[in-house]
Amino acid sequence: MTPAPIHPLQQRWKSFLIELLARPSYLLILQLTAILIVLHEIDTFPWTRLPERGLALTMLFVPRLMRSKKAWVALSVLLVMNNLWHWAALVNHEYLTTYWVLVCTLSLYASKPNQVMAWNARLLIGLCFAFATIWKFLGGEYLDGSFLHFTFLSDIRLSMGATLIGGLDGELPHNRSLLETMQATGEINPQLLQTSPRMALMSVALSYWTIFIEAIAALSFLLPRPQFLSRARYGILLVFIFTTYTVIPVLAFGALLLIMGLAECLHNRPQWSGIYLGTLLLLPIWMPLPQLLFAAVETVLLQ
Amino acid sequence: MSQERLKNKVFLGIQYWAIPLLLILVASRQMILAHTVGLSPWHGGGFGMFASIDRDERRIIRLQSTDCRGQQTVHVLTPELAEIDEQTWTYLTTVPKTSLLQSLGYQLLTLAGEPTSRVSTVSSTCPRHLEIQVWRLHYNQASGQVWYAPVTAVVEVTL
Repeated sequence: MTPAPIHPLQQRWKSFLIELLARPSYLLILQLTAILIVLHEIDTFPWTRLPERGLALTMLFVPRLMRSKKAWVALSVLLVMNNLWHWAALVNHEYLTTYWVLVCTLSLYASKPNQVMAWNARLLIGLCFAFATIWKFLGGEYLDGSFLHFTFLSDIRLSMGATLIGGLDGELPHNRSLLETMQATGEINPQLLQTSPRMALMSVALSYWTIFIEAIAALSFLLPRPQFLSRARYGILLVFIFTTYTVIPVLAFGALLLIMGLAECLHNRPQWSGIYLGTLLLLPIWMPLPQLLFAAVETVLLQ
Repeated sequence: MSQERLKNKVFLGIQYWAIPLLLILVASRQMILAHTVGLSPWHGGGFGMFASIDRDERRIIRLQSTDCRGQQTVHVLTPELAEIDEQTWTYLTTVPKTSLLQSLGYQLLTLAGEPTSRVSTVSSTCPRHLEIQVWRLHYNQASGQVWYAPVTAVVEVTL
């Protein structure tokens, strides 16, 4: 049987990935991490982030600096200082980014940098999912579907999900306006949000799916046994990334998980590296795509 | 064991365990603060995002002022009204410690005495006593109802 012909574009893409993966693994991860620091929330660009962005950008253009221990120590110091200064305002992936930069710095002092990166990536991914799962039990708003139901009804980023999954449309502006009024006037008494039975049911189902995938991800990255689960961790992480971030696009978090996942599989399971690197490089296209398509269809339908 | 070997072991330990341990420490601290001082689950590095509807952006600071005639008025505080910057406001709503709310109360009572201050609109006639409390949003999936409930105890400030 003759193999199916490969499209030239596909061939070029494959060659490009192979070329990138041919670099020393730790260097590729350092470069991708520096790119993440530069591009992270570029749309908001707070001036307090300027020194770390500037340094990361310089490191990308000066190859000598990319391998420099001093440059990575300086980047770590800047990120740690930012974390300490804004600790209450920062969200989870900003903490995780700082941890990861610290790992990159430590790996430069190691005799086996790839191993240090892979080990830490595995633990950090596992712990991050473990704490996310624990919070979903502790918070008391997840198991009955309350959190996701409320988020679908009120968060503009989930409009696509609310319309496609819950069959909601006109209810969403009403809910947002009600919540804004409550916040502005200090109305503390119970008010009714508009929803649908389908949205309520789907919220419960999706809540349990999220707990399941996060718990499984935590176990697969943290435990060496059972082996089938441990081996499946690369696939599980990708399933989480695709099912979560196509609905709620958080580019920086998705990119960071992919970089850490890549650091892990480059060392332990190289056959997954191409998939991870490809997914990471195409992330600015595939992640916002469902939302963009939905917005386009919605606009056409409204006209 | 020679000193060199011990040094190497310590260094290896740092390379492999320091950062995961740091993550555990920070996340545990966040969980404790969330359950003691009312830290928003979305912040503080505990990975509580997308686990609770209690985002700091949705929290409100309710203010009850009592004037010289004993009349009480309830207001919802905003950064503009309190004359504080966004960063301080975010910190206050995310980590509503009693000491911070007390400082805010004293600041408001002091500012209220100045006629040009926006705070004077909160209580124009000799405000002497304020009660401040931070509230968060709750949602019940079964009833579809949304409401506010206190995150902190009432903090009373008198000049």
